[in-house]
Amino acid sequence: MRQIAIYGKGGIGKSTTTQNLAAGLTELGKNLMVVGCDPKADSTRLLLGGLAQKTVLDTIREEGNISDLEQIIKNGFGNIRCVESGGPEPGVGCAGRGIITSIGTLEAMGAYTEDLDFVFYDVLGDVVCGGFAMPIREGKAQEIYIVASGEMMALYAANNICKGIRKYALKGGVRLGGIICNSRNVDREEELLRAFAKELGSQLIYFVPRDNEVQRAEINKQTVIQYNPKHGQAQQYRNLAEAIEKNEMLVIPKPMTQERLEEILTEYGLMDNIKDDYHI
Amino acid sequence: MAECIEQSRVACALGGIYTALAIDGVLPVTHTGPGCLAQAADILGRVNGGQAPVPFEESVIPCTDFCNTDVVFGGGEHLRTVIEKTIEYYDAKLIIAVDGCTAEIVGDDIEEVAESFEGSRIPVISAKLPGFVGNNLFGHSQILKSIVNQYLEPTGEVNPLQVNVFGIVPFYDTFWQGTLEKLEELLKAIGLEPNIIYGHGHGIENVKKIPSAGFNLVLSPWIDLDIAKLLEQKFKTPYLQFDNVPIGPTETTKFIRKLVEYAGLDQVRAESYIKKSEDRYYYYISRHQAFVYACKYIPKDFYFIGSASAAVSVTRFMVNDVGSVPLRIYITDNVPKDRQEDVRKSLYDVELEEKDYEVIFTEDGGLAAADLRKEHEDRSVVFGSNWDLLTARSIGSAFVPVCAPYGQTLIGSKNYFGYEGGVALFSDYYGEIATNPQVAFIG
Repeated sequence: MRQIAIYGKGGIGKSTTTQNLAAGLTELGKNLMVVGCDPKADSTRLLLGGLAQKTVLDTIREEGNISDLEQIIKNGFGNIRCVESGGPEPGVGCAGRGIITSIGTLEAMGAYTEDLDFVFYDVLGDVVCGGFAMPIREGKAQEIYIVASGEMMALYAANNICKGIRKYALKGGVRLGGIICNSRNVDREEELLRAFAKELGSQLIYFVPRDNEVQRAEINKQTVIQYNPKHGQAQQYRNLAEAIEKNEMLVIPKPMTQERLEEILTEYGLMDNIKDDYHI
Repeated sequence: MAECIEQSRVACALGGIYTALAIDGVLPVTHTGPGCLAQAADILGRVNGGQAPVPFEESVIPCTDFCNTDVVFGGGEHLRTVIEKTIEYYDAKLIIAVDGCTAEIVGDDIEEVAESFEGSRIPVISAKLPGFVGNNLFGHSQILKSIVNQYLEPTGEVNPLQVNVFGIVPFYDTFWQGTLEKLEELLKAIGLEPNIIYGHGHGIENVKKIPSAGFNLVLSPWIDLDIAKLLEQKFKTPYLQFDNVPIGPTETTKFIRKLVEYAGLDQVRAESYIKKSEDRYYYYISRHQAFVYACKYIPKDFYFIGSASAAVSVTRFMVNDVGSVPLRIYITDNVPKDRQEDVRKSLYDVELEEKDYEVIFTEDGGLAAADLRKEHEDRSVVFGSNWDLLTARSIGSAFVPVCAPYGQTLIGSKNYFGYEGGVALFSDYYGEIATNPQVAFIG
């Protein structure tokens, strides 16, 4: 079983990428479980055809405990097992502790069965505290993929996440599998991402181009692979799935200094563009 | 705060509830795990002279039993329910909702919860007591600040003779109850009207009277100065600081004269009180003189390990009245850095020509113990808490407990305040020397 966590800046498209990637892997005959680690509980919406899942934490809150895995696991597209950790209402409680509780419950209830080929954790954008690092601690996810784009803040976030991975990699087995570019159509985006990934000692594992078919599928509460399997974008996600399935390049990342990161951004023209944007 | 502590002589901030519990009619509701309450109860209560704020186990104090679901979803509603039930079942005049570490990390809004009880049968205020921010002295300050800011209202008139007493921390200053009773007698004897909020015969009605005082009296090198300043700002009440709870004739007489001068009291009356009290002190001391000389050994020096407040009181008495010399003074209650200089000045303000002793600020009592074992004078005396008993024995010193945790004994009304307190401390001090075979009969 390969346990994989997907991190990245908030709003970068982690959930969309994870679910489309999962759909691609299921077409390769793999057994999967997707665990949403975001209080918004929208990590499995495209696989389940809507927010059809009662979260682990809501179940615990309302019923005190979980007596049956069926209460919290629902099968979605391609028989993918879908779990949403959930969280407290905005502004109260501790969502990080919620994730710790939730993953602990899944383990205690025996959700990680031997027939699973992949478990994906789709983690909230900003790893703000220890709770959001839970999927890469204590021998859970061994592989991390960071979703990024050519936008400056996405790369700042990715570099920061690498610092967290490095911390846990040094004492555990977690490794960076690569950067997934979810394109924002930024100039020289692919080159920039390749250079960025190389600097980290990793790779740009796949460049997913931007396509409005993704939005159309999302409005219809489906992955692109389910909504329009013949569309070119569906093939892109299949390619991503294959790249990850075959990936053997797992490294301890070498996060860069702020200065070095900005050098790379300047080198690929991004800083100039930003300056241009601020012209009145 | 120290990186690590062995032999803690303080409780965490939650220990502040002991200040609330010392005020009759005030009931804390704790938004913590039940174990938090137990640790405070040990250092400040049970192992501190067998004291307790209520005649039952402290677990009678309402507690939300903060658990995992409170962390994940927030425990505000849970606290609201417990306060509702407390109002229904408990007979109190004021409820203080307090939280601890976990609720503070999670960010529960206990202020909002407390405010939502406006107009209820029992008023509810709140105080934040995260243990990772400070110890029980921080907690004590938080409780008093909450009372001043959220409960007190101006009384309209000021009684120039009324004096509120601050600077003594209930329970933590082990002799607090006996001290306050004797202090009250003294203040009355010189013509003041003491308003004491803690302990026997006092309570919430005294709290309400705080704004009408002519002045506030702070008996400590640093404790409660923040409260005195807050009251000055809020009710324009001036304050007088005397840097310790006086023990023995030198310090007590100085204390009375300072009060007389500050409050414009009847000097003749005060001097007559001083004369009578000093005569009585020396009468009692002289009764023991023959015995002391027969023992043929009076240690010339002492060590102190404990609170800053007790350190100043004991050092002044031991130097100015007994004629002993401190060798090292360890202050273990995390005096804030900006207050340490004041405490240091107080500890060197004694009638001694060569003041070559060290004052060391460390919360780590274990460090103080290790230090003493490494380097010490034989046959001296250690003043400290129950933690220091074995250290004193191991270095062949006499031991006199003066600080929390005082030990598993019954404190009763014991205190070392004033002239009579000087007699009491001298008898305990020399009684220990005379009966301690390691000290008295060798050489």
